[in-house]
Amino acid sequence: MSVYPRIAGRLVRPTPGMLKLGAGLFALQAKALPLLPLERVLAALYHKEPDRVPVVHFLLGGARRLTGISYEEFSRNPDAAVEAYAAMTEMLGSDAYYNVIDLSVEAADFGQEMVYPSYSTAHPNYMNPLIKTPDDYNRLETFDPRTTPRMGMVIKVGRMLSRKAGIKYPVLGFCFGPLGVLAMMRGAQALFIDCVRFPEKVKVALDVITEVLIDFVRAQCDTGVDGVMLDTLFAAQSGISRDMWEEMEGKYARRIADEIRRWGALVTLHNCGNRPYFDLQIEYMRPDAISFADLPDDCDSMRELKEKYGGKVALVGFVHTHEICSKDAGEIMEVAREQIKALAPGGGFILAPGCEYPPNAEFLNAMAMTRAARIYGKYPIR
Amino acid sequence: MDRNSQLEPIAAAVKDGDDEKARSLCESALQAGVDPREIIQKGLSRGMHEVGELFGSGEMFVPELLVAAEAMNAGISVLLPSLKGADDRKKEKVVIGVVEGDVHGIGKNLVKVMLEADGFEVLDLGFDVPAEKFLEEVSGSGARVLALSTMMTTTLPNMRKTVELAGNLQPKPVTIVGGAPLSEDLVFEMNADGFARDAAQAPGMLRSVLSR
Ligand code: B12
Repeated sequence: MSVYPRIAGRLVRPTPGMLKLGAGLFALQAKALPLLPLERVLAALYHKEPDRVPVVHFLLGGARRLTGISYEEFSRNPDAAVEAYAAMTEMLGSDAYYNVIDLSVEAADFGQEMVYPSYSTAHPNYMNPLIKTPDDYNRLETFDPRTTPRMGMVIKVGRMLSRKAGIKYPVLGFCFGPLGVLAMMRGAQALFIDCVRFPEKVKVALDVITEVLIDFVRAQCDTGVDGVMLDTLFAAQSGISRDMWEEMEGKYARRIADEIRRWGALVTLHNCGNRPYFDLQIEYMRPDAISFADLPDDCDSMRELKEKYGGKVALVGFVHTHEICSKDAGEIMEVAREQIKALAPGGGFILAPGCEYPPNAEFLNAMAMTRAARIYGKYPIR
Repeated sequence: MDRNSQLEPIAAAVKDGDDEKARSLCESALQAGVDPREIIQKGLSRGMHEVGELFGSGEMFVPELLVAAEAMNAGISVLLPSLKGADDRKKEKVVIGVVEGDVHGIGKNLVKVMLEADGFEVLDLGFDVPAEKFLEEVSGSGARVLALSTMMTTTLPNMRKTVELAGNLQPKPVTIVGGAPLSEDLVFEMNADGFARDAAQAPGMLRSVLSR
């Protein structure tokens, strides 16, 4: 939101204590009156019961369809992206603004060649990775993300969204984790092999990337976004082992998360892998919330998840994107109902897809999620 | 030295992803007069199978599996010259790739590795492969098997289309499919001949489909 005052050039935000108090007050207010999205999300994040379960849709590039622009415009023109996001939030009744353009924003500014298709998400030219051999890892150089085209655009969009959000919506920035950024410049498979064979070479690049990402989240925090979402996608059984993650990403991601916190913004995580390592990610990044697509590696049911982690972080999820593509609205409402029943009591839950809402999927299922939050997500949950 | 004490370390080198060691141990075994097919079966392939099982049970991860595959291939490259002629059995050819619109190639690569370890000859078309390209390769190479992968629900229609078009080829190839969004129902619906949840199960599944 845009209402934080600035003193000596620096945004002044409420302390966690104040936010917690506010969340409690919103929860009280919710007993009599409907809340604004920002109030609803804040209450939920601080494990209080708002008027109903908040819902976000992670409909990113797909939002362009609402305003009739091409993917390329969405990826390159900040005004067009903001308009698409705002239209989508309004139409779907989402409870937050988020600022994710695509997963190649950071890599592109390091020099990775990009492809901008008209009808799908921008991505690296996989045939021409920037890092071609393990000896190329030391070629990366730091830069100021405020001055580069793609990260610069994200910062600009963050500022515009914060202004637009006012006190109505919370705004969430985004930053791909260091290993993810590197995967976009080397190819995930080659990077995995290098992590086994040449970890020291990979770390040289991770150091440089982390410096830039720290600066990137700092610049995002300064726009007034309320939190930044860090995507540590490989911290899951579908990615790399727990030990390797600690060594090759945990240490770096911790520094980025600390920076977000230092500026008073909320730390949120995203991980759409199978069987994510919640405990490790919590240990390293101390997030306020985790957005996820699958049960953690140490939980076998939603109940166990709520018991083990529900008190430590807010849970954001986890209608699977495969279901969004293959099920109808009625079935999606059922999936959402089950999740709300298991995860929402006591607050600490935001209904969302497990990952980006598939950009070309029907909007109807997104609306069904909103409807489920409004009907089944009304507190107290029955 | 008996056979086993010579072949077991080869399997272990594969498991450890040690390509140097796999190469040198294969060389020594060859010099000691071990049949290269036996080195593959009881050394390299066995190591790869064990890795596949550990991966299937969540005890090993993608990076370790990938380096194990490199070690296996390093060993095979040593054996290749002596295999010519020695290995006169015809290998079953498999054309593999990720369907059009999808760049998630890691799962497909693991399946390729496991099939190779099991003695199939795999022609890899990479990712984002149009249906026409698959058909061309199958017809051109005379492969009997077409293996398709996709990780996205949004590209399932392209998989379906490829399976359908392959059904019109003469002779009709055996089509096997895999990837996270698939279910037994979907596989049945798209008329594919076989499906496996993970790479470790792929060779066994394919052998059973081929023997039907
Ligand atoms: C790593 C990853 C990426 C990497 C891919 C790197 C690479 N070179 O492959 C990157 C970051 C590049 C990426 C990009 C994108 N991704 Co992605 N990604 C993943 C992730 C986290 C893991 C996939 C993986 O590698 N798994 C590990 C391997 C070993 O498992 P596997 O692929 O399932 O393969 C096994 C089996 O399925 C089986 N198998 C596979 N193929 C075959 C074939 C045969 C014949 C057989 C028998 C068996 C078989 O055996 C394999 C080995 O055991 C998944 C999330 C998840 N939970 O799976 C998302 C996921 C697949 N991605 C997703 C999306 C949306 C994207 C993007 C579109 C994001 C974007 N908007 O830019 C782009 C895709 C662009 C494109 N056009 O393809 C979604 C797909 C949703 C959908 N629509 O269905 C997922 C599911 C995330 C989510 N939860 O929503 N991604």
